Amino acid sequence: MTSLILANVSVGRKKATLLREANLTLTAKELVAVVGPNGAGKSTLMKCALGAIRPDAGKATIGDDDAAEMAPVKRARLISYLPQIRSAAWPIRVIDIVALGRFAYGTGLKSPTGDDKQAIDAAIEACGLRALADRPSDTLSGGELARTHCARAFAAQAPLLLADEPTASLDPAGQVDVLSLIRDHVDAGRSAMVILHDIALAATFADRIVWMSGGEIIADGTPHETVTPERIYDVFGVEASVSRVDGKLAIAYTTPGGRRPL
Amino acid sequence: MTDARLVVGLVVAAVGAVVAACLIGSTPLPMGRVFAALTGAGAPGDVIVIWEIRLPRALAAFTVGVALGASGAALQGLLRNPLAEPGVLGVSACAALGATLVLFYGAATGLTVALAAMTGALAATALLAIAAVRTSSVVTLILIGVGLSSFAGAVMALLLNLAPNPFSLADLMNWTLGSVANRSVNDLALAAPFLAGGLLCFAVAARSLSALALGEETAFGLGVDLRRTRLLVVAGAGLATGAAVSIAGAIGFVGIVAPHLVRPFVGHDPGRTLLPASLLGGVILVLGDIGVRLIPTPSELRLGVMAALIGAPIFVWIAAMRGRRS
Repeated sequence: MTSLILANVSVGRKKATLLREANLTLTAKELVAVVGPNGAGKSTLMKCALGAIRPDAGKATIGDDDAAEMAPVKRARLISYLPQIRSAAWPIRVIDIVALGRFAYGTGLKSPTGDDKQAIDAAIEACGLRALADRPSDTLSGGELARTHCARAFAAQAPLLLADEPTASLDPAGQVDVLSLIRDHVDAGRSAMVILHDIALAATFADRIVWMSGGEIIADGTPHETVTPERIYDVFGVEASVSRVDGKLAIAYTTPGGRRPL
Repeated sequence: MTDARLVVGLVVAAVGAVVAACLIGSTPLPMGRVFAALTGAGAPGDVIVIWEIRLPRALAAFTVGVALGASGAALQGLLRNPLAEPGVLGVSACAALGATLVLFYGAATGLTVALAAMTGALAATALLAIAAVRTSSVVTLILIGVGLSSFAGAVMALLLNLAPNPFSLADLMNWTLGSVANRSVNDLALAAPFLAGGLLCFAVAARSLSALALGEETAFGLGVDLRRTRLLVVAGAGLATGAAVSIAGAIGFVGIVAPHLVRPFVGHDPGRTLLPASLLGGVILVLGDIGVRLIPTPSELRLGVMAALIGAPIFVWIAAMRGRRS
């Protein structure tokens, strides 16, 4: 099993500290949600994990290698990345987007064959895209496009998945869709780190929640351990009640006038 | 594969266009004499007309079209913008500037002009290559290109302004108008290695260009070496465009129109656009050059002028359609 380890990772830009001594380990069959307000350092954390940003101090390790030093293709075979979804520059077809997920295995320009074709078919099937496979991407709804990009990330069949707000700008059904797909992907023996803005979604789908605020990880644990009214107030500055209904967490915001002065 | 059929069709069209260009000219030569001359068996006069004049001219038009079509397709893939073309990075302008400088100082032979054009293109390319490594932003790269282009234009305007007599003014203008008339096999041979190098860069970058369709962040995640891809495309565009300008001077818009036309046939995949766009660029310029020779004007219409007259409105149309979609 390939694991992802962030050890004392710090990143600063122009005197501002974006990330301070972050420690995080992602192991097998784990879905970790990263939550926190805008500017808390979530995306910076993810980019360090991916090797896209070289930390000023500390080290991100993928398997046995320093993330920032890895050859792009080797890294891409271990870790697939789902950035915030933007529309493609050209109206390329759904099947072609998913096929790009196999880039690190040398596909492109010709029709995929063998293992590549199998991986692409499996991802298309898993994400329910069979009927959409030949549609140009500019004709898709937001939810369909999100599923297409999930399939693209899954097609790599990498042991690790990093997703930066995969549910942004989706309706509730779309959000649940995407997180269910990622949950299934993880349950099939992989691990994922997912940035989310919705604590309830994180509590529903994640095995662990990493809470970030002001560039630091301030809590890391199961939803039941870490989702408390005090923490929600500390991190997001809003008052909320947390109750347990049939063993599940229910979160309600009780905000009027209750926002902490910033 | 539809791609293969498209490429075969374009190769056939290219051969047909070049043969047609050999048939047409001020001295009417019937089909039989042209083919006899092509195989070297014809009358000595025919052989000279075909091998020294018409064929080199047709091949020059084709070569320039290939270079510009390929550069346009590659730059559009890299910058994810259908309006990008060799001119955008200022490489054409710098190449033309190199040529005009040599003309201005009267050191002009076929060889020095060609070498100066190539030097101008490579200087612009080197500058862009340095910028491409330092910046992660494609917009910055375009703006640097716009700056380079404006500067080269200003220096060229200065040279025209200072031109000592009408003859040198006409010489300078000729270069900026763009033409493949009176090109020799030597001109082509000089440009060929640079063009080959440029096309090789594009071929190596092709897969990465396909991945870049999904944006730089996604492409990075897919395992694309972004820096290397940028360098390959910028260097390739410099070499290929320099080669094109050294043959024909500045000819615009082929690099925009050719990729635009083939894109729907290759699923809009930037990597798969490269080869058919280059071939179509070649076909367009060979046909355009036939057109230039057929249109009865007092002095021969320049290929670059015709390309701009047709290409510029298409450019505006593509830009307007793009604005409507997004």
